[in-house]
Amino acid sequence: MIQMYNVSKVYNNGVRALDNINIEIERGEFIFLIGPSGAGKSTFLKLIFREELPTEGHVIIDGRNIERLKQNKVPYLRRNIGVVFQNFKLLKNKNVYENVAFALRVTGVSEGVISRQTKSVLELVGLLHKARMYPEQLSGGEQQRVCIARALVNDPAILLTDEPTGNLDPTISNEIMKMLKEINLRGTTVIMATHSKAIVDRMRERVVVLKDGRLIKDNERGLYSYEADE
Amino acid sequence: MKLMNDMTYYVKEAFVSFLRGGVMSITSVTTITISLAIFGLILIFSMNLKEFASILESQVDVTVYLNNTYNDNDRQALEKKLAESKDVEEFNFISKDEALQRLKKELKEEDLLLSALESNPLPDSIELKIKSSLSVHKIIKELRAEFNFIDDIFYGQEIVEKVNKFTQVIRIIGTILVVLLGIASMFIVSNTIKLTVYARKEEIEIMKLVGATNGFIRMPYIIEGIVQGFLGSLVAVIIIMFSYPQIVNNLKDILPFIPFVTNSAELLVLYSKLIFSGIFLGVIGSLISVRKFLDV
Repeated sequence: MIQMYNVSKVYNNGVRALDNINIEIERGEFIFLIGPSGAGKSTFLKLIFREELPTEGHVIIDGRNIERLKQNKVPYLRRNIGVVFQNFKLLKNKNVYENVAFALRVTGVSEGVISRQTKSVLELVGLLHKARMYPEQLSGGEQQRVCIARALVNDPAILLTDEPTGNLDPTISNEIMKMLKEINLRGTTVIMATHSKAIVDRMRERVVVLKDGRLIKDNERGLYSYEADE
Repeated sequence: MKLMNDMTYYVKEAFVSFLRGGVMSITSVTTITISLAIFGLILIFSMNLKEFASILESQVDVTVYLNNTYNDNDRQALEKKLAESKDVEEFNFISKDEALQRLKKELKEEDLLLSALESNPLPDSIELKIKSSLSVHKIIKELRAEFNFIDDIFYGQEIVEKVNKFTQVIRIIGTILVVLLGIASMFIVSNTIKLTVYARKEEIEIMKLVGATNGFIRMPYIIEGIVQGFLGSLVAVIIIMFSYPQIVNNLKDILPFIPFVTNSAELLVLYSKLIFSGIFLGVIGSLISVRKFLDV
């Protein structure tokens, strides 16, 4: 599903965010991406939905090399990947329903399908009753859930989440984790960058550790630890 | 079905964003209105000048005097040449007898003077009406080169040359003004729309990240540009519709010899030109401003 071969990313300002990464991720996996701040977790996610291109090496998504993907094909790649952004990236002047429906509308499906799927995904994140409210009227956790709903509404093959439980209280973050696991069990590949030791240690999924742009550890059913295994 | 679906969305988005734009949208429309109103007035001015110039030009008369050495064949050749020439509106052969009759008529009582003449001293001549003063020199040159029985050619040389220079200068100035103003309006419009787009920079970025194609993102802005351009040019047309007849009324008394264009068909063409220009400005303006934000 996702393969990276000798991938390095150097930004224009000279920062080497990723250094010679090699990894293979299978369809339907659940992966925690951990590491200290600035280890390259966000860059890793950005490469997958082609917000950034690798400086060296190859990133292959579903058999397609993203560097060779033509500019006008990029939108179609992104429709297959749901992203929960760290800073939500919700449209302030659209209400909850519109924010979620939006991701579906760009794909050109009919209004009936948009309405049905948007409602069902809002129900999934428990926000159907707040569909007419605007993002500013919601709490941080609720905005987070709107963002998750938007990422899921396309029924994407890959779900990328950057700190989805970052500023939420434990009950809500547990609910969100339960939701992500459910989605994962339905066949979606989930990659989640996180700093939450509690969540990682409880879930016992595959854990990939980045440090200074290098992949230092990759364990099945791993625990939260930055230290390389001896 | 999909297209209709999208179209509804585009148009809805365009209007919502136009209304939400508030003061900014009004500024944009006003800018288009002002530019196009000035543009329209310049077009009307040059239309009137053109009309004026063409009337002046059409009144160029040339008289060709013939000497006695020609025969019927020569005359036929000359008339054939004139009939075939594209620049000659019409021509009229005046025999020396006719010329004398005319002179007698003009002199009336004083024709005693003429009766005293033993023979007719006047030459045969041909009167020409030339379509455009610009071609007078060419025709005269050709006639002189081809027909040696032409004695003299008379035309209002100085007047024709002055009219020529005047109309040429006015045409050049008019064209320069129209071009400059067109560029200026486009610049202002694209900047105004750029402000609108800039205010939605974040929105465009998010659209791209959830997989919207460039075309999908562009469409509402293009329609918004059309709406702004159409409204702006409509107001400009209304302004001209009401002010132009007033201007003509006021100037008619001062400048009675100028034939103002009041032909409604010609004005209608002008109005549709303005509306079209407004829409064109709106579309180009929005395309220029959106382009910058599409490479995410």
